[in-house]
This record gives sequence, C-alpha cells and structure tokens, in this order.
Amino acid sequence: MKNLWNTYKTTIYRNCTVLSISQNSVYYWKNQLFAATVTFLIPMSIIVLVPGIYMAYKFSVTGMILSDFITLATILAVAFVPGISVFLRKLLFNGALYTTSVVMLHYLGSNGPGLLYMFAITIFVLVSLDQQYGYLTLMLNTLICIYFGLALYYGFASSILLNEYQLDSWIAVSSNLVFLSGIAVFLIPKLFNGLQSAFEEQEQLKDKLEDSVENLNTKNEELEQFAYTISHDLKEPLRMVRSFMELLKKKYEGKLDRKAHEYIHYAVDGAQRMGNNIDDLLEYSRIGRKYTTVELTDLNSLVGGILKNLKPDIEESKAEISIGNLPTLHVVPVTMKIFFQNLLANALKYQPDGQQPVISIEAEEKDHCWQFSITDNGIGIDPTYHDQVFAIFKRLHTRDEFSGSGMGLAICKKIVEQHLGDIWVESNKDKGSIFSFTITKQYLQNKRVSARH
Amino acid sequence: MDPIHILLVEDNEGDIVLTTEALEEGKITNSLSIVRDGWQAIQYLDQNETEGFGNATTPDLVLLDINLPKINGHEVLKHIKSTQKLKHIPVIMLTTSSDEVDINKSYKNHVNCYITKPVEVDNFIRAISAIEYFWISIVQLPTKLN
Repeated sequence: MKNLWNTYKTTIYRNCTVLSISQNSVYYWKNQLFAATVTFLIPMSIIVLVPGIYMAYKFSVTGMILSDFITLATILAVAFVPGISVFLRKLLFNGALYTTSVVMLHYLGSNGPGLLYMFAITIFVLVSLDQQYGYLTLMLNTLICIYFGLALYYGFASSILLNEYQLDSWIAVSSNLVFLSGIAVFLIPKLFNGLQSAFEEQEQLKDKLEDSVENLNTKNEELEQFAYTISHDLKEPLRMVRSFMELLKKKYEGKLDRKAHEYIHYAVDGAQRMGNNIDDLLEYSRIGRKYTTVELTDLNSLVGGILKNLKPDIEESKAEISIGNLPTLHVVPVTMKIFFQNLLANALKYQPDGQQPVISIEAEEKDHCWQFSITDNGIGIDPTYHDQVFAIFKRLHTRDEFSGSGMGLAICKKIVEQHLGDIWVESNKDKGSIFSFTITKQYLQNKRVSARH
Repeated sequence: MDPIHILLVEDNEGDIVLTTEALEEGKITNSLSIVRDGWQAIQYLDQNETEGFGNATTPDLVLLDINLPKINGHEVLKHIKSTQKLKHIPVIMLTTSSDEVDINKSYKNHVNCYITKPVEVDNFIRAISAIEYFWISIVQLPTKLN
C-alpha cells in the first residue's frame, strides 16, 4: 500500500515539477505546491464524486455527471500523461476546476460548492503561478458572478435551484467571494516575495561565507609560508653566528683568555635560545592550522609513549608517576602528544632540588566534557601568576633556576582551545600544582564525522 | 685511488667555509668544486662551454643545498636524476630545512640521502666527516664514465 502511494506520488512529482530548478527559488516551491495539490486532490475528488453523482442523479441533471467525469479525467491527465509542460498542466488543472465550478453554479447556484471552488482556484493559482494569473482569476471570478447575476435578473438561467434565489442574496454572497479572492491575490504573493528575499539573503550569506573561507585558507597558506620563512631565513644566519663562535672557541682555544671564552659562551647561549624560541613560535603557529588531523586515539598509549621519551629524566629523578584509566577519544594526536609532553616535562622539571617527583594523571567523564588533571608535588605557582603562566614567552624563574622558552604552557593552552576545551591551574607556592583541562564532547561529536576523511 | 671529486652547491659563504674545513679535517684525498646557485650547478654538470664550464669534470658526489638562488636544490636534483649521463651520481641534500615536505620531495626525486645541517659546529663537522667517510671510504661508487 505504502509502495503504491510512493509510486503514485513520485509519478506526479516527476510530471508536475521541474528538476533543474534550484531549491533556493520560489519557482521550485511553487511547483512543489502544485504537485502536492494534484497529489491530494485526486483521492479527495474521487471521494467527493460519490455524493456529487448521487445529487445529480436525484435531481436528474446528466450535464453535471458528465462535467464531473470530464474534470476528473482532465486532472488525471494532468497528473499522469507524460510530455506536457508544467505550465500547461497548471492551466489545464485550473481550467478543469473552472469548468466544474461554472457547471455547479449553473445547476446548483449558491447552494452548491461552485463559489467555494472558485475561491480555491484563486488560491491554487496564486501558490503555483505568478501574481498576474491571480489577477486573472479575480477577473474571471468577478465576470462569472456578474454573468450569474444577469442570468438571475433576466431569468434565462435554466437551473432548477438557481431560480429559487433572489438577486440581492446572490449579490451579497458573490461579492463576498470577489472580496475574499481579492484579499488572497494581494496577500499570498507577499508571502512568496518574503520567501524570495529570504532565499536571496541566504544565497548572499552563502557567497559571503564561501568568500570568507577562501580568504581564510589563503591567509593560512600565507601564514604557513611566513612561518616557514621565519624558521628558515632566521635560523640560517643564527646558525652562522653560533657555528663560527664555536669554531672560534675550538680553533683559538689557547689564544683566548677567560673573558673571551665567557663572551663566546653568552653569544652561543643567546643564539641557541633564539633558535629554540623560533622553533617554539613555529610550533605555536602550526597548532590548529597545520596539525589538524583527527584520529581515534587511546590516550593511555599516547601518554605511555611520552613516558618513554621522558625516561632519562624520570630515571634520574626517580619520579613516581601514576596514570589512571584514560579514555580513547577523537583528538588531534600530534598536538595531544605535544600537550602531555609539555605538562609532564614541567611536572618533572619544576621540583625543589633533590625531591622525588610524585605525579598523577586522572580522567573523569562529565556531562559536557572529559576533564583531565595532572597533579604534582613540585614548587607550585603563586596564585598571582595563575593566569599569566599561559601567556606566550611568560617565565616566572631566571634561567639559572629553570631553563625554557616560556612557550610550553602557551602551546598547551592553544592545543586545548583547538579541542574546544579549557585549561586552568590550582596551586600555591611550595604546595604542588594541579593542571586541569577539558575536551568538550561537542568537539568529539563533530570530529567523529570529520575524522573519517 | 683516484682523488674523489665532490661538487658542493652552496650559496652561504659561512657554510662553504665550514664544509671545506670539515672536509680538510677528514684528510681523505679529494678535490672540491664549488658553485653558488642552482643555475650554475646545472651549467657545471652539463659542462656548458659558453658559461666557462667546458673543462668541468663530472663529480663523483654532489652536496646540494635546497634554498639556492635562481634555481632551487629540488630542481637541480630533478635535472641530475633525469639526465642520462648524470643520474648515476650520488646526490646528498645538505640543508637547513628539516621540513618533512622538503625531505619527502627529495626522496621522491631519488636523492641518495638527506641531511639537515646540525646547528652545533662539532656536530656539523662530524656530519661532514661521516659523509666523507661513508661515501668515499665505505661505498663503492660507479665507474667513471668520462
């Protein structure tokens, strides 16, 4: 039954719509409405045919029976005969309805549904054709009403029922039809005009969005090129400074005094740090831009891999590291590795002299996110600086105390933001630190789809 | 043993000095020719007489930088590996770039090995010595064709 209905529906839609029209056009929707009207009118009219024919038989008006069948046949032709233009189908459809309503008015007068049909035609025409055809129906409706008014006045109407009506009551009823048709002709096109401007606006927004995306991609490429140039063109001369300082030290070992060696040391150290800063800045700029491939990642093995990298530091400090049961999530593994590496390296590094580091990583599922925490027993951070530690090149210690570029936590913050999460620290001086961060499920859900690429 | 002939394609004077000194430290007999951009490198290898390279001998080994004036190292590498009388020459990329794009592109174009110039001078000298030791003392190079 359902299959039959579907075949029936698709046949009508194939005949009564134009496939090549874009969905963002009023004409597309006008054709859709026309097809829908035809689809539902056919079963309705078959049902209505029964009382119609009964009435016609009762009053023995064969003309009406004939017109009923002709109308139904025309509508069936509009729906199922292939090779007719959609515009012609619309005209045929409404023409057939006009025939029915005139015949009904002729035989049944305002007693029958003729006037209702005429109003319905105005609506059908307005939703499926341009406004000027709406005006045409308004004119036709008015003319038909005048014709029947004249027929009443001069008494040449042959209807059995029509003669029972008074001219003044006909004028009252039919002028209401003309009035309602007029309102429809003015109001319904406004609806379509609104729809049209909404489509146009949508189209403009789409164009703007496409432009912005294209613009953004160009900017990204420029930035990548810029980052590459920075890393290459800045490091090349830097390498020269460093290499020749070292060569100077090596080749003139005996000829230089202590002071000269000290100067060379500072020059080499400066060049080395600048090189590290450039590398860190390059890495910072690549997060969310170059490193974007999302994969389903087991964070247990990801962290396990990092612990292997940090093995020398862990063994040297005899650190005790415990890792809770971490989830398997869709993340950007390249940046997540950098993230855990930075946080764990910090937890190992920022320790009082000679203390055994105790570090733990935990994960907890919340309503909207996964929340992780990395707890250490290190030197802690004064609450005054809790926000500042995530800024680029921000350092809280001299290089003699702890080395580093000050980029580590800035990089971590950017990675968390890439995963639509947040990072914060709870800590007090000398009391250890807890770094907590979240990965939102919204990010995970969006990425589950895109990760398949 | 015939002296090994190395062609160094390098635009940075500092690197030329470093490489030359490192090769001298290796004390293996070799002759070194130096060209300073990609276009010259191709003229040299093609023994273009009008450019003054009529007497150039085909090198046994090419040390090639990527970031070069006029024609970059990737193009020079492509030229070598697509020219019948040059394609047998081992080419070693010796460059500042550690970008995976450069590395993959070089190997796709049949580079024989790719080395990122170490930042520390000791490591740089060690790398050059290693190149020298491996490609001159260990490896059997193809027979000289000219």
